[in-house]
Amino acid sequence: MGDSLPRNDDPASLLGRSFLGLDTFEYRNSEQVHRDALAAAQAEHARVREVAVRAYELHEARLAQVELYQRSLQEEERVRIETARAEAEVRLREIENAAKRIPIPPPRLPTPPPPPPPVPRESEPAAVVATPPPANTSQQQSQIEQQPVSTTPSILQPPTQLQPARSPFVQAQARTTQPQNLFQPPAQSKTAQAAPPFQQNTQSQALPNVSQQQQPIQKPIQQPEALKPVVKQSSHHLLWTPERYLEIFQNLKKLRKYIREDSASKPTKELKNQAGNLKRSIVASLGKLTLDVKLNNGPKETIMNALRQARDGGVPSIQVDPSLYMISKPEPTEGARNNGETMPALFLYLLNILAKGIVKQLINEAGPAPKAAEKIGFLTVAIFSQSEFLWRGHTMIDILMAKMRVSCPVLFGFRGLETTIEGRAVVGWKRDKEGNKSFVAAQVHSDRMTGLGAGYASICLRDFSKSAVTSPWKPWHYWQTLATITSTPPEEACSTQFTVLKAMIEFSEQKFLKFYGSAGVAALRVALVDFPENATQKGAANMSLAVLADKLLKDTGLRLRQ
Amino acid sequence: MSGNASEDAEKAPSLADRITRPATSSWADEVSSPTGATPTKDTPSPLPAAQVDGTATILGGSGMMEDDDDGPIDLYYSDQQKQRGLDSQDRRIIKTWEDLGLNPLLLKGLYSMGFLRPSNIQSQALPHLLLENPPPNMIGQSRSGTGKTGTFAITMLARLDFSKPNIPQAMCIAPTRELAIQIVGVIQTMGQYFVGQETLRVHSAVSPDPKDPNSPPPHRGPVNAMVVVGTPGTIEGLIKQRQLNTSQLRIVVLDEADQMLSSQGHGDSSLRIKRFTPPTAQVLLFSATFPENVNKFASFFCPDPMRLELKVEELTVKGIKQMFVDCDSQAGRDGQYETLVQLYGLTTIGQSIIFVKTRATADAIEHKLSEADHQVLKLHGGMLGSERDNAIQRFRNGEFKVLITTNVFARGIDISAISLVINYDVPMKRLSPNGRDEVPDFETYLHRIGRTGRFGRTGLAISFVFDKPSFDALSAIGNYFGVEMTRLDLDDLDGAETLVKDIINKNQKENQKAVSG
Repeated sequence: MGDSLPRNDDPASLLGRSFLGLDTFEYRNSEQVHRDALAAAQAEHARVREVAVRAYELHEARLAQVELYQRSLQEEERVRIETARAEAEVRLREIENAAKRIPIPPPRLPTPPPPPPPVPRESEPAAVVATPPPANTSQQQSQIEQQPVSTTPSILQPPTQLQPARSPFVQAQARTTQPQNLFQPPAQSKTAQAAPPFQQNTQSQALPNVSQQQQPIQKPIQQPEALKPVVKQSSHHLLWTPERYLEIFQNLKKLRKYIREDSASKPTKELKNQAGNLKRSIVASLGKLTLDVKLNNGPKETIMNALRQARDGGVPSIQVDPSLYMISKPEPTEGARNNGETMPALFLYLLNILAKGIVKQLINEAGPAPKAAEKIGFLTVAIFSQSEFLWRGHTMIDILMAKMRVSCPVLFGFRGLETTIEGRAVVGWKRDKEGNKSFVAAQVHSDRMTGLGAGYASICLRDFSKSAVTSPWKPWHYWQTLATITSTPPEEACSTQFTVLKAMIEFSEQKFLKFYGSAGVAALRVALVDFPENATQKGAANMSLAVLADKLLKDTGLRLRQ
Repeated sequence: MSGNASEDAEKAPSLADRITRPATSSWADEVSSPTGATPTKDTPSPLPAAQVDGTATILGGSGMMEDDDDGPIDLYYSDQQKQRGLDSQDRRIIKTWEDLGLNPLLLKGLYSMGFLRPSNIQSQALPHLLLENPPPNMIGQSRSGTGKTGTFAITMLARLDFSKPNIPQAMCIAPTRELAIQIVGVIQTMGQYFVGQETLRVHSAVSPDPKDPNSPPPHRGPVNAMVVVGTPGTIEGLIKQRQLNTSQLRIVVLDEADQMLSSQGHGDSSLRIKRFTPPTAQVLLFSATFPENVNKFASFFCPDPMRLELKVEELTVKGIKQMFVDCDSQAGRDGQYETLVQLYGLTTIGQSIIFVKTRATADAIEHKLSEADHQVLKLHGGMLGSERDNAIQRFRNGEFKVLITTNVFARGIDISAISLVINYDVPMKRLSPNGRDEVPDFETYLHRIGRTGRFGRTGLAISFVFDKPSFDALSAIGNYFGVEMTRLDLDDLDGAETLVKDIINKNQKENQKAVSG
């Protein structure tokens, strides 16, 4: 430390300073001079000491810093090692989780064929029949039930599912006292749906993944009992209750058959003719929609008039329980119109015709020209939200969704390998003729999916903030579909998904962003950049989806790629 | 559930910063942090057989479910090609756009237009047009709506040298201004991703209408776009005024070539234009129909061509269901109007075109349909150019669902949502320019119904007959093309509905053969 004394201050100069202060030599031994010299020496000493102390402190600090630095290096090294270890652990867990996730357990196994729903229905229906010839109707009813079963086993449903359908035209007024029972068909399928996630870990490791993922989800319809478990295995990525939609779809088929065929032979032939006329007026009106919203009021009125006529019994038809065509049965709502137990069959039939017409119109018009989906979606939502067409204050849009579920399963989370027959069946690739083995061509399929995807987007993304009524199909459905498609594992992503996703986003991105803001931008990035990029299956549909990101950048300035 | 996935992906970047923090939640939730935004990337694939080869799994591409069909197109080689030893064994067919080695920007344009893969004619013609040296001339005949425009538009764009952005290198001649404008649109859309240095300029050479105050002023100054599309008269004018430099043209295309070469004025113009083009330029002639007399003329215009041909019976698009309605002859014209209105409820209709003979009929129908809430648009030769452009644009946009038109619209116009064509009058043509005798006009009929059933979609064509001459004429047309026309009985609407439905569903696959490559 002594070494670090300042070198500039040599003793001569130190003394010189006091000498320079004196003018004469004679006072050189005076006390004053000595004091001064002492004081100067003292000051100098203090200064030197201070310098030395500072130097010492500096040195001390430097040492400390070096030590700290070394320690930090060590710490860093430790953290790095630990992080690597943690990552490895995470990866291990991930793989384990994936392994757990892949084989999905048979969901319905734990709750075996649940008989509760039918029981109340069967025991009660005898009660009261609100319609003209009670005996006749129940006979018709049984005919309706039997024919599909015997002639076309493919639409067979498990007995438990069939039960709800058995009561369609039978009126149980006493039911109001115990409405719980009526919930059961829907409620039950819901629980079944919710169950699997929690059961996944318990079973299943042994099941081969590949076959599960490709299992045709529609098979259950054909061979319900045997295949049910297999189907459910992959159901964790499916939305809501697609099974219930299939039931609704089948119920609607029976309803159509009743109106068209069974009523033709009866003295009620009038019903069939009237139904035909109303039907044509609806179909024709759908074909008249144009881009100009105001001009669409005419067709819309025509459709609503047809529905009103049917609802008010202008053309008499029997009464049916609308919950057969809904996911869940609502309670009577205070102040709502149509609060009773039933609605006229013709009304429901026309809603079904409307739903079918909408789907067909989407396929035929919006398929080749996706922009046309907008007006169709607008009209759809406008009609299904009308309070006069609600039942107990709830929209009947499930009728349309049942049809969508069958026509475009991808929207509800289904996916499949299009190079296999089963895979095509799962993604809704239409056969070129009912019951035929061959499928429609790729272009036709692509058109269909485009039209339906665009239409679905248009139905979901409607702004009801300024409207007195509520949206029958809220925007979060769009998000959910987007999420369920984009969360497909890369090796399972299929062309149909790319096509549907593209159709859902193109021309709808502005509306989507209006609802979801920057979260929406992130979602679009996942859908248009990450999803197609990561998918193992490239190809035209994939490219086409990825190019949409470039198109948005070019046309709207929305930059999705980093 | 699935919502989380996308949210995770979204959070991913910020999570990466938190790596040294002890995990507060389940590690499984943070899985995405070390591995990036794609949580499932490292998951072992449950599908070992997952496709890596794009060609195998394009939508409905090959693989197990392949629609394998080469289609009924005959390909004949040019003499030059034969000298090089090419014969039908060497037929090159491509399955994907990637096989052509196209510019990636052009590829983007194709996918963006929804052209997922080459149509039949494209997969057979393009390998020769693009990959051979010297590029062969070609006369191409294919059904309407099978991708002819796409074929030559791709060829034109692929031949451009972007280092000479101001010099015309590709030219396309079309018979009507509507068609020319449509082609400009196709080329521009296809080339929309050429930006910056490579920006694509397309010059549209259609004549301004002198009577029309709204028409843009005629082009002045030299044409400095790489691609020129227009009608023969206007292009010829530009060349004569020395505004259009033809010396560096690499490719000349005649669309609807038979109509161009058979009509006096257009044919002469086209020939004069041809004289100005370099002999090395590739010449392509396209149409759905090539009558015999035009054929000879065509080879003169387009020397030593390759030929893509179809037999006459193969010409009508299978996907277009052809029917006829016997209108109440007692009620006369009124019967036809009623019939027309009834038709619209029978099936799902996207857009529709009604072809009529006279403008008066057009007016009457417009009135009738408007009463029934239809949004109707008229288009005929008596309208000014800008009015016609405007009308087509609005129809294309879907603002109107029904278009009533005369023959001006019969050819080439491509609007994919058209699902119904009505021949309100059976098309006839005069035997001689001044004569009164009329014979059925086969070509026009074919082009008319070809407005629907585009690119393998299903379409419905309904012709009205109301007396013996019209019935005979339609029968003659049916015989000529070898199709059976189904009678539609509108007295029983339910029955008619079922019939239409059956016919549309009936073997929908047939029409696919023409377009799937």
